[in-house]
Amino acid sequence: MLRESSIAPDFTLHTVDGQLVSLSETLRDGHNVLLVFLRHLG
Amino acid sequence: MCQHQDEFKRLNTEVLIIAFGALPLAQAWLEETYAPFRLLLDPERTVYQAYGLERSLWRSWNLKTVQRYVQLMRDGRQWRGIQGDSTQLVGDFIVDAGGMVRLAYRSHDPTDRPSAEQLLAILREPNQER
Repeated sequence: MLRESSIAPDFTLHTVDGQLVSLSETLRDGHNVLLVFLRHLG
Repeated sequence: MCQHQDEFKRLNTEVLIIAFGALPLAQAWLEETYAPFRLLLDPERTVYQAYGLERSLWRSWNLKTVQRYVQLMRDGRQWRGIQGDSTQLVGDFIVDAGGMVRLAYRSHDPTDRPSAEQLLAILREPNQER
Protein backbone atom coordinates (compact mmCIF):
# COMPACT_ATOMS: atom_id res chain seq x y z
CA MET A 1 0.00 0.00 0.00
CA LEU A 2 1.38 3.38 -1.00
CA ARG A 3 2.07 5.47 2.08
CA GLU A 4 3.25 8.96 2.93
CA SER A 5 7.03 9.44 2.63
CA SER A 6 7.25 6.80 -0.08
CA ILE A 7 7.97 7.54 -3.72
CA ALA A 8 4.86 8.10 -5.81
CA PRO A 9 4.35 5.64 -8.66
CA ASP A 10 4.91 7.28 -12.02
CA PHE A 11 2.19 7.17 -14.65
CA THR A 12 1.38 8.55 -18.06
CA LEU A 13 -2.20 9.31 -19.08
CA HIS A 14 -4.00 11.19 -21.83
CA THR A 15 -5.85 14.42 -21.12
CA VAL A 16 -9.31 14.97 -22.57
CA ASP A 17 -7.52 16.95 -25.29
CA GLY A 18 -5.35 13.98 -26.22
CA GLN A 19 -2.13 15.27 -24.69
CA LEU A 20 0.09 12.83 -22.83
CA VAL A 21 0.88 13.84 -19.26
CA SER A 22 3.23 11.99 -16.95
CA LEU A 23 3.76 12.53 -13.26
CA SER A 24 7.55 12.41 -13.62
CA GLU A 25 7.63 15.10 -16.30
CA THR A 26 5.35 17.34 -14.28
CA LEU A 27 7.61 16.91 -11.25
CA ARG A 28 10.69 17.54 -13.40
CA ASP A 29 9.42 21.04 -13.96
CA GLY A 30 9.85 21.58 -10.21
CA HIS A 31 6.18 21.46 -9.32
CA ASN A 32 4.43 19.76 -6.47
CA VAL A 33 1.48 17.78 -7.77
CA LEU A 34 -1.96 17.34 -6.26
CA LEU A 35 -3.71 14.28 -7.65
CA VAL A 36 -7.49 14.34 -7.32
CA PHE A 37 -9.17 11.06 -8.22
CA LEU A 38 -12.80 11.45 -9.29
CA ARG A 39 -15.84 9.29 -9.87
CA HIS A 40 -19.07 10.20 -11.64
CA LEU A 41 -20.07 13.67 -10.45
CA GLY A 42 -16.84 14.33 -8.64
CA MET B 1 -10.93 23.68 -5.15
CA CYS B 2 -11.37 25.87 -8.23
CA GLN B 3 -11.64 29.01 -6.09
CA HIS B 4 -8.16 28.28 -4.72
CA GLN B 5 -6.49 27.95 -8.11
CA ASP B 6 -4.26 30.99 -7.55
CA GLU B 7 -3.11 29.74 -4.15
CA PHE B 8 -2.17 26.32 -5.56
CA LYS B 9 -0.23 28.11 -8.28
CA ARG B 10 1.49 30.34 -5.74
CA LEU B 11 2.55 27.20 -3.87
CA ASN B 12 4.03 25.85 -7.11
CA THR B 13 1.50 23.05 -7.26
CA GLU B 14 -0.04 21.58 -10.36
CA VAL B 15 -3.46 20.04 -9.84
CA LEU B 16 -4.14 16.96 -11.96
CA ILE B 17 -7.67 15.57 -11.96
CA ILE B 18 -7.95 11.88 -12.81
CA ALA B 19 -11.21 10.29 -13.93
CA PHE B 20 -12.18 6.85 -15.20
CA GLY B 21 -15.31 7.79 -17.10
CA ALA B 22 -15.56 7.82 -20.87
CA LEU B 23 -14.35 10.87 -22.79
CA PRO B 24 -17.79 12.47 -23.28
CA LEU B 25 -18.47 12.21 -19.54
CA ALA B 26 -15.13 13.82 -18.73
CA GLN B 27 -15.74 16.63 -21.20
CA ALA B 28 -19.18 17.24 -19.73
CA TRP B 29 -17.67 17.37 -16.23
CA LEU B 30 -15.21 20.02 -17.38
CA GLU B 31 -17.95 22.07 -19.00
CA GLU B 32 -20.20 21.87 -15.96
CA THR B 33 -17.57 22.63 -13.34
CA TYR B 34 -15.38 25.10 -15.27
CA ALA B 35 -12.46 23.38 -13.57
CA PRO B 36 -9.26 25.15 -14.60
CA PHE B 37 -7.13 22.04 -14.14
CA ARG B 38 -5.95 19.33 -16.50
CA LEU B 39 -8.25 16.31 -16.57
CA LEU B 40 -6.59 12.96 -17.22
CA LEU B 41 -8.39 9.81 -18.28
CA ASP B 42 -7.70 6.45 -16.67
CA PRO B 43 -10.43 4.21 -18.11
CA GLU B 44 -8.70 1.01 -16.97
CA ARG B 45 -8.20 2.52 -13.49
CA THR B 46 -4.58 1.35 -13.43
CA VAL B 47 -3.48 4.51 -11.63
CA TYR B 48 -6.34 4.17 -9.14
CA GLN B 49 -5.00 0.71 -8.36
CA ALA B 50 -1.36 1.84 -8.23
CA TYR B 51 -2.34 4.40 -5.59
CA GLY B 52 -4.23 1.82 -3.56
CA LEU B 53 -7.74 3.14 -4.08
CA GLU B 54 -10.23 0.48 -3.12
CA ARG B 55 -13.59 -0.61 -4.49
CA SER B 56 -16.61 -1.03 -2.29
CA LEU B 57 -20.28 -1.17 -3.20
CA TRP B 58 -21.51 -0.22 0.28
CA ARG B 59 -19.08 2.62 0.82
CA SER B 60 -19.70 3.94 -2.72
CA TRP B 61 -23.45 4.08 -2.41
CA ASN B 62 -24.21 4.93 1.19
CA LEU B 63 -26.86 7.48 2.18
CA LYS B 64 -24.39 10.36 2.37
CA THR B 65 -23.26 9.71 -1.20
CA VAL B 66 -26.82 9.64 -2.54
CA GLN B 67 -27.62 12.86 -0.66
CA ARG B 68 -24.48 14.48 -2.08
CA TYR B 69 -25.38 13.49 -5.64
CA VAL B 70 -28.93 14.81 -5.20
CA GLN B 71 -27.49 18.12 -3.94
CA LEU B 72 -25.12 18.35 -6.92
CA MET B 73 -28.02 17.81 -9.32
CA ARG B 74 -30.06 20.47 -7.52
CA ASP B 75 -27.08 22.75 -8.09
CA GLY B 76 -27.34 22.14 -11.82
CA ARG B 77 -25.13 19.15 -12.42
CA GLN B 78 -26.55 16.54 -14.76
CA TRP B 79 -26.71 12.85 -13.91
CA ARG B 80 -25.44 10.87 -16.87
CA GLY B 81 -25.91 7.41 -15.49
CA ILE B 82 -23.40 5.00 -14.08
CA GLN B 83 -20.35 4.60 -16.27
CA GLY B 84 -17.38 2.45 -15.47
CA ASP B 85 -17.02 0.74 -12.13
CA SER B 86 -19.54 2.34 -9.77
CA THR B 87 -17.81 0.76 -6.77
CA GLN B 88 -14.51 2.56 -7.33
CA LEU B 89 -13.53 4.78 -4.42
CA VAL B 90 -11.50 7.95 -4.70
CA GLY B 91 -8.77 9.89 -2.96
CA ASP B 92 -6.36 12.80 -2.96
CA PHE B 93 -2.57 12.64 -3.00
CA ILE B 94 0.06 15.33 -2.70
CA VAL B 95 3.41 14.52 -4.29
CA ASP B 96 6.26 16.93 -3.65
CA ALA B 97 8.70 18.02 -6.33
CA GLY B 98 11.09 15.26 -5.25
CA GLY B 99 8.47 12.62 -6.03
CA MET B 100 7.67 11.84 -2.40
CA VAL B 101 4.10 11.33 -1.25
CA ARG B 102 3.25 13.99 1.37
CA LEU B 103 -0.43 13.15 1.63
CA ALA B 104 -2.12 9.85 0.87
CA TYR B 105 -5.82 10.35 1.55
CA ARG B 106 -8.06 7.47 0.58
CA SER B 107 -11.70 8.42 0.99
CA HIS B 108 -13.94 6.26 3.14
CA ASP B 109 -16.80 7.13 0.79
CA PRO B 110 -17.19 9.60 -2.11
CA THR B 111 -18.23 12.44 0.22
CA ASP B 112 -15.11 12.05 2.35
CA ARG B 113 -12.56 14.42 0.79
CA PRO B 114 -10.01 16.75 2.40
CA SER B 115 -10.94 20.40 2.09
CA ALA B 116 -8.95 22.75 -0.10
CA GLU B 117 -7.78 24.46 3.10
CA GLN B 118 -6.42 21.17 4.46
CA LEU B 119 -4.58 20.51 1.21
CA LEU B 120 -3.12 24.00 1.10
CA ALA B 121 -1.99 23.72 4.73
CA ILE B 122 0.05 20.62 3.85
CA LEU B 123 1.57 22.38 0.86
CA ARG B 124 2.58 25.30 3.07
CA GLU B 125 4.45 23.02 5.50
CA PRO B 126 8.22 22.89 5.16
CA ASN B 127 9.17 20.07 2.84
CA GLN B 128 10.16 17.33 5.22
CA GLU B 129 9.28 13.75 5.91
CA ARG B 130 5.95 13.50 7.67
